[in-house]
Amino acid sequence: MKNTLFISTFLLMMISCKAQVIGTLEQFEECQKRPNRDEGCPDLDNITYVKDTNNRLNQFVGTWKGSFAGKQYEIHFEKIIQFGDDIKWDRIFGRMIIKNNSGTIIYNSLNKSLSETGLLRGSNFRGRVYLLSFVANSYCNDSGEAFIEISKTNPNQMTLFFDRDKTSFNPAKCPNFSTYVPTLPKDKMILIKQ
Amino acid sequence: MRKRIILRLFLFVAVSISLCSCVHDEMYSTSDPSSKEYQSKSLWKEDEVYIINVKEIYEKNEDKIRKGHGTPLWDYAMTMDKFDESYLLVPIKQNGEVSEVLEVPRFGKKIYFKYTTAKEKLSFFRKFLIDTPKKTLPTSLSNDASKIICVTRTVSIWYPDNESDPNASGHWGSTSYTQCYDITIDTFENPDTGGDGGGYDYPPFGSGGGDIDSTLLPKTPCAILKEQITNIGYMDKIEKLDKYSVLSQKKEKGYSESKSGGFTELQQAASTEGSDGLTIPVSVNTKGYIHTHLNDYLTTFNENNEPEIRQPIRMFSPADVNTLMTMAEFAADGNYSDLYGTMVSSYGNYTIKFTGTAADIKTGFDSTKWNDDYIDYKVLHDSWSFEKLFLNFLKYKMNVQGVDLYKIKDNGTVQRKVLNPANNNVSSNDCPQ
Repeated sequence: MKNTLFISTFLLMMISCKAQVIGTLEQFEECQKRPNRDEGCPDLDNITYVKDTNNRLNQFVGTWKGSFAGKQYEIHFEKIIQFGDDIKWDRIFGRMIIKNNSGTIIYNSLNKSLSETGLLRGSNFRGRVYLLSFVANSYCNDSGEAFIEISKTNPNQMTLFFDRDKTSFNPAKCPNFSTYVPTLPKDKMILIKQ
Repeated sequence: MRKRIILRLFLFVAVSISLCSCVHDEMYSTSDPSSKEYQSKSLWKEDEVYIINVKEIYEKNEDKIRKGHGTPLWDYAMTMDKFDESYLLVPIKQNGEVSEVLEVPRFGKKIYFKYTTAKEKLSFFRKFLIDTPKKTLPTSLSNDASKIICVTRTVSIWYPDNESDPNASGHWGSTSYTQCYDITIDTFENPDTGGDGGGYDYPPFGSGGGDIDSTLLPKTPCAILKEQITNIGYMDKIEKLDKYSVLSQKKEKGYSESKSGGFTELQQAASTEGSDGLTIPVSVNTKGYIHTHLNDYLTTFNENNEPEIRQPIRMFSPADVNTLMTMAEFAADGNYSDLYGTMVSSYGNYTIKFTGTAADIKTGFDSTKWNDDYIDYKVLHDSWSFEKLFLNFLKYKMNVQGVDLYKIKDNGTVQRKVLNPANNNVSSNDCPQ
């Protein structure tokens, strides 16, 4: 009797827990390429976990260093599995430490948690390039999209390109906008894996 | 063994039935009210002229309006501090309980009947109609009599500890109901809850020829937007922005409109670091603003010489909502109906309106954290349309009430975009022609 009770309760629990519907990064990459993409891709709405089934994110994981225009950039990329709430994704997150030419640290997000601002937050691939959003200071448009790709000939070499937001802002909240220097450079940067 | 299980099952069933039957409270019994003369049993002063007239029109057209719904308890009808023959709520009795509330607003010379099971209206009338002592508490008014107002009705109800001895110990509890008038005529013209969408002539306002002075009636957002898209000044700016040559630039463009009249082109702030952001200053004089959200654009090329494309979000951001809220904050007179924010994009032209009260004004959405959260929400909900993304984020993350989204279509139709609460998908309601 006890056994039947246990089994039936267990079965009931299994049935009541919602089953995960797993999709792939590739499916959502295809969605973004559709000409009517702004209307959404309702055929993918039931997916609750977007998985890196082919482990394509693994190539970015590690500590990467580069320098540009006198500044030293060190980025720690990690792969996070099942990040999200109602819908979860496998993603890359990046934390940085930036030094100026005197060696002074001018930016440090290494100790930030995943729920804080100022991290590189991965979304998805577009071909061989992976996109991450970056928001350090919205008042001054110190935000935008980073594009990273691994060199075809050298898996320890990464290019990072940052496109800064060109959106509207309230001048009262960023009086020095015209000379404000954003966190990431506007030109392509090479990073070497450590 | 089997006997024990059967006994337990019986016990379970017996308990559930008894629990279910306890749910329905005792109704204050009245004789069948439909043939009686109206006699107010409300605790407040009501617009009895309106109640009597609506009751008469209802009885003349009962076969078209009622359609399987219950009986209106006219003695308990309430006009919620409106005394201009323009609004009432009346509880509906069916199967011994208050099943619904019938809402009857007047728009112009017509009245509309709509049944509702909205929680706050239903529970207020249900509690009001229980046979226990009641006393009124002060009404709070948030605005002037001539405008749309929100009224909170609070009633204290005595809950005795022992119902057989109600004069002994117990406590006063209160129930309250806040009514903000629904000024959108289209929800009454096409109610999905029964009633009749056609609207009925209201003779006191329809007789003697001539129109009512329409400036006395509050304008709905639909009416205001329909006027706006025939306004030459406004449409001239829309046409200047709604072009491929403008939307395909790598910078936003726009105009602000002042309350004193006139449009000013918004300045693009050049920056040494290539951002050229559009400045949107807001002051007490700002009536609204129009700005573009960009098309996808080329950023660089990858190692395969393939173009890397940036895909901006062609929909309002939390910062855009914040701009509208800032304008509402400036409006000390509580007149929000003319304020707007318009976005022009290849996804469509959209306008947000503030339709809330002073209590709904919230700012701070232009922060770094809100920006980051909105983008992350978009990443996680990548299959959603921009409309669905914005409306869900507005409601469930920003917890904003009173900001409405409208689409202005090329053919001149104005559509309200709302979330269907059943599945959080987007529904479109055309403004009346």
